[in-house]
Amino acid sequence: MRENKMVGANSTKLAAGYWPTVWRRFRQHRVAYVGLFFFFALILLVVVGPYLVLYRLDQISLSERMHGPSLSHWFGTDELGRDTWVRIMYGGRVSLIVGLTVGFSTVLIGGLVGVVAGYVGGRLDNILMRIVDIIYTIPRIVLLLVLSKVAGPGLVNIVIILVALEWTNAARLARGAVLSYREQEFVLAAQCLGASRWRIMLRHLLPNALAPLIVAATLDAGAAIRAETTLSFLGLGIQPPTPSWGNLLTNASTNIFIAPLQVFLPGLFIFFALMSFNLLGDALRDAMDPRLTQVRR
Amino acid sequence: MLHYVSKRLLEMVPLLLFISGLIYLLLYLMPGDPLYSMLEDVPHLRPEDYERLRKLYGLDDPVYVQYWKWLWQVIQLNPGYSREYGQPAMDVILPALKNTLVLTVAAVIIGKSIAIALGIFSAIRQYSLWDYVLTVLTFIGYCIPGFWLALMMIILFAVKLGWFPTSGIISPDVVPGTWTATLDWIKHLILPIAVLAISEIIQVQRYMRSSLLEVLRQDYLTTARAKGLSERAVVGRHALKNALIPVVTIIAITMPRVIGGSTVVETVFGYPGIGRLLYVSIMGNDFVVAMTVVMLIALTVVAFNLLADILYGWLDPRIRYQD
Repeated sequence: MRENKMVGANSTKLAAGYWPTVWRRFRQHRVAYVGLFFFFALILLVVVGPYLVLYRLDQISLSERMHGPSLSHWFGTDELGRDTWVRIMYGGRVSLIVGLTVGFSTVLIGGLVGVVAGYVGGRLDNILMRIVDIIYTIPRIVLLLVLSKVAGPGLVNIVIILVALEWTNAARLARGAVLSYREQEFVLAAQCLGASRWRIMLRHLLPNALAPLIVAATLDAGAAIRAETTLSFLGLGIQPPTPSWGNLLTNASTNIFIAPLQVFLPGLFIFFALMSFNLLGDALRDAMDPRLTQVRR
Repeated sequence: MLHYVSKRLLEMVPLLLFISGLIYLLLYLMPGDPLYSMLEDVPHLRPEDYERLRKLYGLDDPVYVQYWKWLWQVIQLNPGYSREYGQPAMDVILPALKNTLVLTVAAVIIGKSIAIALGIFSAIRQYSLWDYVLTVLTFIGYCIPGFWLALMMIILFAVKLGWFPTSGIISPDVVPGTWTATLDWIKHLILPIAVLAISEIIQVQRYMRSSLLEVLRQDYLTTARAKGLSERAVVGRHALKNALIPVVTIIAITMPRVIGGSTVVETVFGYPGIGRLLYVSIMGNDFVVAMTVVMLIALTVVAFNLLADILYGWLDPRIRYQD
């Protein structure tokens, strides 16, 4: 990343190199630790958790229907006597897989589109940004409902739909970054040395757009979890008997008078997940903002 | 200015046409036979009757011909009939729109005024304990999904305390037109209004706070203080005017929600508004209703985006639109 150093040479505060500085500022950020703690706790929970419990995902026990919390069933059971804790942990797998894949893919696709649109410019830029505008104009819930009805339910379809709607954010950010860098000397230098368009875009421009894109990936992951749980809650996302935090809530809300705790718990975990991604996103944004030398708080 | 507005209005036409075409195509691709819901109760239906009906309703046309016919009817303000209800689509949509307006107008007025007040409070006491508490609370609120908040309110206020009904718009046992019916109606409204108002507060409070903080840092306020104005006059008269400009724009951009309602909140509370109608019509393959609701929402979004831009230029003399 030679060009990073060239940009950095103009401002003395980046003397230690950009990424080490970001890492140092990230570690100074107290909120970041809360986000990281919840993130790793959730990952651990959904990856290892199900193996540490005595019950299987779909283990029905008709003698233990709608039980409250007890030593054998920590968070009680549902209307078929299935253990709620196990179902929440498996549901978390689905939600976190959706969040992480969508966050990663939106940035990959959106970042690439944005860099190409910003560097090539002209008609291609116009068309791509018009598409972005249109996706922004139609309310998100309309597109979510219609697309998931057309595509049908299922994990893969949800991921595709969410990526199709959320790449726009990353595309705008990457395009903005490229527009501000493409007239600078290091790009001219690369062009003079005979670097190809793709090399300039991928080796010289993309790394400079990386900071806002990493923040976008984190926040998009949170947005994806929110959208997946909403869709599953409305019955268009992950279908039972496969649990997801969203459809566990729908299922529990039919028995809201008898077992309110069953409604409380899946939502609490959605909240933890959204909080961890949003806190990490905020902390990364603060750490990567070149205008800030000192991190607040 | 007039030139700018008319240019923007003209740009709206192809945008709306494109959106309508895209949504039409997507709804056309939805699984399910449109004749099925009409014919499921008809015995002795022969395949040739089925074919004749398909021809009669133009369902054997290619999608672009169907779209063109739909567009031609809509231009004449005739969106068509609801498959689900067997009524003109507008007769289904207008009562839902009325219900949504009652809900959202109340929520927006309550939510946004509280949000602006809290935002101002936070900004003039930046880094105080209250500012910290409010910032943490709005962040927590931002991370709570709307449907869960609605369900928690139902558990607390409807199930545990029994103050309000859990869902719907009217109790089955009240006589319409009486005072008890009005009271009953208000009781049904309070929880959904509260949930919507809370989400308004969460969104606008942060904007108001950061916008006022931005203005409070500027030099002209130091001038105002230096000439001996009280802090109340400095903030209330000089700072607030400029700080409200971006907030007003944000409010204008989010206004389409007043028409479109909230699918999630209306569904949780079983409230018969536009948001729930959108969901029900898409789920139930009610093509005409879904298409009309979507276009209604798209139209308001585009219109309010334009309004936001005009307002911004009108309120902020530093911004002038070039033709």
